Amino acid sequence: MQRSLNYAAMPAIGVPLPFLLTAPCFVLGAALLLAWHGELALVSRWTPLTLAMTHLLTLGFLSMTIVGALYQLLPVVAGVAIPLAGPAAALSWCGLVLGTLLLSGALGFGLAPAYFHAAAGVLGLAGLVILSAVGAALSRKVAPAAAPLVQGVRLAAASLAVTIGLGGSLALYLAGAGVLDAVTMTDVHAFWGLVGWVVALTATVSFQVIPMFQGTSTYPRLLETWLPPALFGLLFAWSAARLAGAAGWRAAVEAGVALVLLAYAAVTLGSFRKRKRKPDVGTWYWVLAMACLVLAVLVHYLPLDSDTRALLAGMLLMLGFAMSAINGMLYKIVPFLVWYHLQCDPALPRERLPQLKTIVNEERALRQWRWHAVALALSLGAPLAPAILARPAGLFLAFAILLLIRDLGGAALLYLRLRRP
Amino acid sequence: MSKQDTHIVGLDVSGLLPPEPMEHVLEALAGLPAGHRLQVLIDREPFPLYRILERHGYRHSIDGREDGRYQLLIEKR
Repeated sequence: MQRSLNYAAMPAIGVPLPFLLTAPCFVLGAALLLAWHGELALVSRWTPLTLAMTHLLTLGFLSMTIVGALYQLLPVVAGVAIPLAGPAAALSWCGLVLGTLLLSGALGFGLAPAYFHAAAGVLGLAGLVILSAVGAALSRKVAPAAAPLVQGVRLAAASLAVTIGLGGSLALYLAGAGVLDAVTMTDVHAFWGLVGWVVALTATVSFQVIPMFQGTSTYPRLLETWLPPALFGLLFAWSAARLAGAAGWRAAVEAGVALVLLAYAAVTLGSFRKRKRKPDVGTWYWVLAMACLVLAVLVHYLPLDSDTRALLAGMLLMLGFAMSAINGMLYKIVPFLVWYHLQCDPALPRERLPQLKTIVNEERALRQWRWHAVALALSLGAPLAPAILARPAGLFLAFAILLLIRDLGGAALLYLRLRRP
Repeated sequence: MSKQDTHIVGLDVSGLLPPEPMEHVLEALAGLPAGHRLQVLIDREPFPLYRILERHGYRHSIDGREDGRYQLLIEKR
């Protein structure tokens, strides 16, 4: 089936762009923490620094870009307008920025309980705004071709609600309010956040954007329709098994999640292999993302201690799968938004308008991919040899993300310069 | 062929990935002689283009073809 876009409903550039431009700055923060503190940041996944870096990546980068992309994607692909998109986006952005800084600061530097209270409140409100905006849009009638996308977004949004609820409870617990089994709840919180929100949503979006922008065949309808609900059901089953301490059931459900993710990666890599078109840098970002998804599944079955295994699997999902896919999409979306909104301005003389490929040329994106790949390799080695690799991993990660900030920031500055009267 | 048909410039952008078709159409429009129309053969209905065409004073019409592609006709208002 042909995928088509409805740009008539495209929001103003000021709706998605702040999310997409701010997000990489949080990766820079996490990378500098790793470079500064070195192996201390990787002693275990429970150290304050590790928890701070994790939330800089998951909230500051992954959630920030995903939410910005949803404000852009839902009207365009599903043909559903988000009510009050401008104010809702501004509130979501403020909440995510402030909440990420408060929570990462409170976790990393052991700040007073008031900071945990504030972080839980601000992030809870941001989540409420995001879920209300997305929910209001998804409650409307959508184009039939967009039904799998909408279903996937609904389930991912439900996972986000679970993640925020559990995260808020944990933040209040850390502030000294109430008693709970923090280890179990953190596991459940992380699993819903990473698999139910980040992986499920990235996969749902990829069902639309990979065939469209990479020229591959469309995904099998079975995978497209059933991957999000299958993951959602498995997450429920896994949470129940984890809370009940049923190790056998938990292992069986984990095998189910592994099979679903491996099937998705295999179909995606197979569609790239079958494609006749020459690969571009966007292809390399997706291939890296899929390779990391496969490795994250395999690492889960390696005979390592549970802490190292969790660190490696988390890094593979956050830095390897999601960040690779998102970086590749940012190199497509941001220059396109700049070019498109400049083209829409009849007051701009045509000779002043840049060509799309000159806004951020492919060479720059390829350079970022190479540095990102090296940073990723060092980061994956760091939990195994932290004394040697932790600081270089942080430095390479910082440099790779600085390249992305420079390229995206350059595109935004070009837009502002050309729009100036 | 009617007199009007001689003022049609053809452009085939089928097989290109988004947003390349839109770039080619806008380039072709920039070089379109006055009084001529641009006839575009395209794989998908180019929704993004419509807002740009409207803002720059073009009108358009589109027809689906039997082979699944679309024929888009653009002219200055």
